[in-house]
Amino acid sequence: MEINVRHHMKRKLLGGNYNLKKDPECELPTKTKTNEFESAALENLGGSIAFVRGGNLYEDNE
Amino acid sequence: MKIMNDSQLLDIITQSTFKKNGQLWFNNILENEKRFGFNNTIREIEINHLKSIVLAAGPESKKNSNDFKIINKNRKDITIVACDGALSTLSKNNCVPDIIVSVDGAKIIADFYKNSKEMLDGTTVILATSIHPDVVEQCIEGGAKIKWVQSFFDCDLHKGYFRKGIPSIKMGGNVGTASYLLTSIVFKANPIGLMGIEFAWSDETPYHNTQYYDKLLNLLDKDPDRVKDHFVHVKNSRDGKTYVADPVYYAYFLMLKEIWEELPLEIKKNTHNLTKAGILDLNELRSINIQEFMEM
Repeated sequence: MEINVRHHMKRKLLGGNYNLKKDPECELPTKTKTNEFESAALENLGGSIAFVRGGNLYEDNE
Repeated sequence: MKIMNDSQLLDIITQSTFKKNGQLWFNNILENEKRFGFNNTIREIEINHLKSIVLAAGPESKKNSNDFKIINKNRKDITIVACDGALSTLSKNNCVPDIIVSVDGAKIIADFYKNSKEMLDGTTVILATSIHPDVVEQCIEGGAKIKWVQSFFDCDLHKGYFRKGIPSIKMGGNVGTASYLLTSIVFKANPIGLMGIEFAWSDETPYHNTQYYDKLLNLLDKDPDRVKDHFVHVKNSRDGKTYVADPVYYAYFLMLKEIWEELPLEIKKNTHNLTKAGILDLNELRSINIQEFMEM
């Protein structure tokens, strides 16, 4: 899978979307680096509080 | 060419967070269980006033002390649920919260308590089972009433982390989101004011002063220009200013956005953003100032 998140700083992401294709002011680069950011991010990013998608918001567990 | 979208970014942060911290959380749970026991839980908490403020440590709201003058004037009529990172701001403004929330497993969180001991005596502190044991020690020393919660649910994926009898709540990766969910779903507060949940810095902030800058620098070949490229710029319609978020903070915002869509309409209607700054912009989330909130 090829992932490219490099882009020009002029972008203004209105309404919140990391997908640059949806941003009219964004300029996409011509150069693509395969998986570069994703693989590095997997190893290095993330805080120290649980971050889980889906599932319940709350369970009493009584 | 495929571009990373919101959902992919959330998946990446989900995986990296668990991969990086799973062992830390597990060790913390075992030690806390052994040394302190998980005897008291959030189930025992009853708030005195339904009108509540969830107070986070957003960088812009720290600069506004006028809001605290209004809060202190109305202090007896509201419940304050504070994120641990807001303790120093609360201390500076002579405002003791009713409840403090800590869900971050890192050891450094203990410093928030160490530096604000005067806020702890008799105050309820909600701790995640995966919190660092040093945090628990500080809370006990300060005379706080500890109530446990867990971020893990009864499922195969988190089997070793889950403890029966302790309520589970989705944390959303940050203490602000966790505090809001506790206040809205568990304490059933109404109305709720959100203060300092910003998920971003002013665009005047140098990138190197933001929380994940060093990590990004390391993973992007120590190239500052490439790091800058990964910051998201969002124009805020409330104050007309532009704010910047690194991918992690932006993911926190996206996670709250995802959670927000799952919340009952009643909770959404009762929630008000009291902070103009930042990138917190959700469907049907109304923005009012602190004075208007107090007059509700």
